[in-house]
Amino acid sequence: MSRPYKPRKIIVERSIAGTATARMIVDRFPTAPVEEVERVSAFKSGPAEQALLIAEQRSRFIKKCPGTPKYACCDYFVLDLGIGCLYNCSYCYLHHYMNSPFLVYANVDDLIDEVGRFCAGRPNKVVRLGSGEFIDSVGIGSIIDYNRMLVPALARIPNLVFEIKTKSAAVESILNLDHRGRVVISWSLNPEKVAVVDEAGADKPADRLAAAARCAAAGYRIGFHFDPMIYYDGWLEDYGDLVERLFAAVRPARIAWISLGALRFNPALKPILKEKFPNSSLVYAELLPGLDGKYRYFLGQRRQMFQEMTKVIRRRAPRVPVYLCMESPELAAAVGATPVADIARSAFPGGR
Amino acid sequence: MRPSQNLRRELTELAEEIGVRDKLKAAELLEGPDCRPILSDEKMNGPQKLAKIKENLFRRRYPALTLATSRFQERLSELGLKGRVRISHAPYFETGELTVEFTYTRPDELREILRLLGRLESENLIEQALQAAQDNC
Repeated sequence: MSRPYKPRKIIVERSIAGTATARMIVDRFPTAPVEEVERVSAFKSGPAEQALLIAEQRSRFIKKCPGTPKYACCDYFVLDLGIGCLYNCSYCYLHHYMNSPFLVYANVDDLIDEVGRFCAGRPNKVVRLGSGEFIDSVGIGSIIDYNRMLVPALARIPNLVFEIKTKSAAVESILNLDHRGRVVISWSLNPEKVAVVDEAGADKPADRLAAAARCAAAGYRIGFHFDPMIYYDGWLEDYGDLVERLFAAVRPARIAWISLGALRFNPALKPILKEKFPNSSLVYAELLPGLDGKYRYFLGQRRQMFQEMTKVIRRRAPRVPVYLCMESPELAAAVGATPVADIARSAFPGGR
Repeated sequence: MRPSQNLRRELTELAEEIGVRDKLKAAELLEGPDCRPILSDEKMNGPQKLAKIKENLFRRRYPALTLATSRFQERLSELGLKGRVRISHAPYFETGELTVEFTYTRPDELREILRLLGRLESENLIEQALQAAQDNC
């Protein structure tokens, strides 16, 4: 179970300090002193516990998924709700921002308007938009309950598939939201053997699956991301077992998609991983620079991982879209994965 | 032997990562087959010894890449390229891209090379070499 977040102080931008959202956040931490400032940008260094920054997003909330150069992009968009995560997974790119306090944006009405306009400008497309890029979309609930505000509002947008990505099992507050069957809640999964070392701050995989079952029972569509998959002796047995448990928890008809992605990270993360996670063996695997310069497993190894996993998943759920994240279309075709262009329509046939 | 700073960094990183992965101490690695025979080889000078040790440590650190590279070269050597045609793969075999280079001096040599490449292509032999390498892991 993840540890509770307790900021030593709260720094809030004057322009949004009076909003209901900012007040709600401040009220959650009654012992933390609050300082009002014009802009939080001057406070963007220091550990996460030092301060919680509440800011107004002045640029766009919606960003094209950064993907990775020279590999296939799945036309995914991300919602920039803030930055920070307490789960401290070893492989996470957020370690590049390790000296940043927690930052959340409180102008949620602007966000909802922006998403509405964005989707209205693409009437013939099903827009896939996720909120788990720089935060854990459910874990962030201990600071700000974005989902209670976003789910009912975004579920009304006809050509939007909104995805909430998490490693949290704390789903109580989202179970009864008006999601209209149009919101996907996704968990990233790894076998216990990996999670206990490399995802030690997050909820256990078994708890994530139990949470997924509860959300499926509440009518949500469910997604799973085997990402990053880790290669080790016995990986197939462990991941295969995880797939079995996944389908025991959630029946295929409730699953919107499953993605596969192998471990990859920027070379700058290597020394951080070695220093901060001495019990992790991830950096000692045979990882080689890919086309984007990130370390990846050897192509043949990745092909084997994706091929076997696709087979295992398809045996249990032939119609569930299984796609590869940040890989080439050639590799996706070779392992029989769903083409990235078809994900939204495969998950929501009939254009929702 | 006085390795440059870069080489020292590379050797240290290779040795450290092999050591952690294979649960070996630095002394054990130095006394092992990747280093000891080279260190005691009187025919090699300092830079040669360092280069050979680096090569050995790299092979040990990256066994799948090493196997793929040798398998690819092995397959190419069976194609009768005779040094006039050089085929190289993408870095780390990350894509299926191949680079073909050839040299000739007379038109009949060029015709012969093109015939050879045509045959290799029609029999899918270059692709098979690449496949054999990429499948190794």
